[in-house]
Amino acid sequence: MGERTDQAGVLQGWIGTLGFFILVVAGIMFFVTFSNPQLRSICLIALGVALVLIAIAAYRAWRVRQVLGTAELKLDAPIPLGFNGNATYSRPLRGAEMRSIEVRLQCEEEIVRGSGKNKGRVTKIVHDEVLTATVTPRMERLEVRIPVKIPATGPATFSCSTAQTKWWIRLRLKMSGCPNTASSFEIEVVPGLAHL
Amino acid sequence: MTIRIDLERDSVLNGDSIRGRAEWVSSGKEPRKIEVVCRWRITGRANKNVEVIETKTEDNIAARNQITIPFEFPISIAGPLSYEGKQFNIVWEIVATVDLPMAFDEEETKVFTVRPRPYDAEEFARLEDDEDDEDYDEDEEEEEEEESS
Repeated sequence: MGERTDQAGVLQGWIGTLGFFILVVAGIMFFVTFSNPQLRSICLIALGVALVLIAIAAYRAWRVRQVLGTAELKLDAPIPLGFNGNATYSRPLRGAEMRSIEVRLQCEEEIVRGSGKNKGRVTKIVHDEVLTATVTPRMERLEVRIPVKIPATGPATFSCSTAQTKWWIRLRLKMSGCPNTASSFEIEVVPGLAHL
Repeated sequence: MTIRIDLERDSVLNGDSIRGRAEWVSSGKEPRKIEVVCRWRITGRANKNVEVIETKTEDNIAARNQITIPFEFPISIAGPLSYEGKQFNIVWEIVATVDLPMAFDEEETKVFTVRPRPYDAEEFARLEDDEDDEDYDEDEEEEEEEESS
């Protein structure tokens, strides 16, 4: 059984981003309009709001770490095309409760387009499937069994300098007692066909 | 067109080899060389990317009127597999090029498909090890050549 790294965190991550955005804009405006007391006070209020948003985001992240701990996904490795098996998602749960869970199997294509200043990456989800997870009650631990079925038609995991395909198991957990959270695990699909 | 490619099969499994032959018939001009390349490339909306797997070159043309170049190119167990995606495709092909002096080169392309082989963990591990060993030997040979030169 292989363990994978969780690549996601607290849901509503936009709160922190918005806080930083307001902080930067209001900070610049504060110095630009320093001579105007009326505008300066508006900027100070905006700076205060930004700091509150950042504090909320930091508290939520800290709370999730405190209550939930680090998530793990155990899954047979490596996984060929046509694989049909189970993955186990587990996470310490200290004093919080899970209200609902949404699990998705996704395959994404990422390409590199353009050159120079116009060079950029474009990501597109090419396979999106909702998986039916089974929650097993455990003492101070969340354990979720996820049936995973990789289509036999693929694609397998692939990467070169201009294009790649990746498979993900993505989870969204609605919680009571702590902020809602998400988890993302990349899984490697080898270019072999499982015996069907 | 004086060059033609014939493949034994239009589709192979990763870890196998693609076999066939390129046939050139003289049309009057004597080419400098004939090159047969096995490669895959990215097509579609992504930036172009070509990966050459192996090349076979025939440069002993002399005064021959007809040349047959048999080839056998290994397809790595790691693939990639042929793929038709939403944003990009992976196309495997054999390209034969006739290098003509003072004229446009002649080129013939034959597309083939790389399909996934039935998965057997031991077989995959063994084939991957064999490929790693080959890569290591090639690297050592290159280093030795560099040292001697």
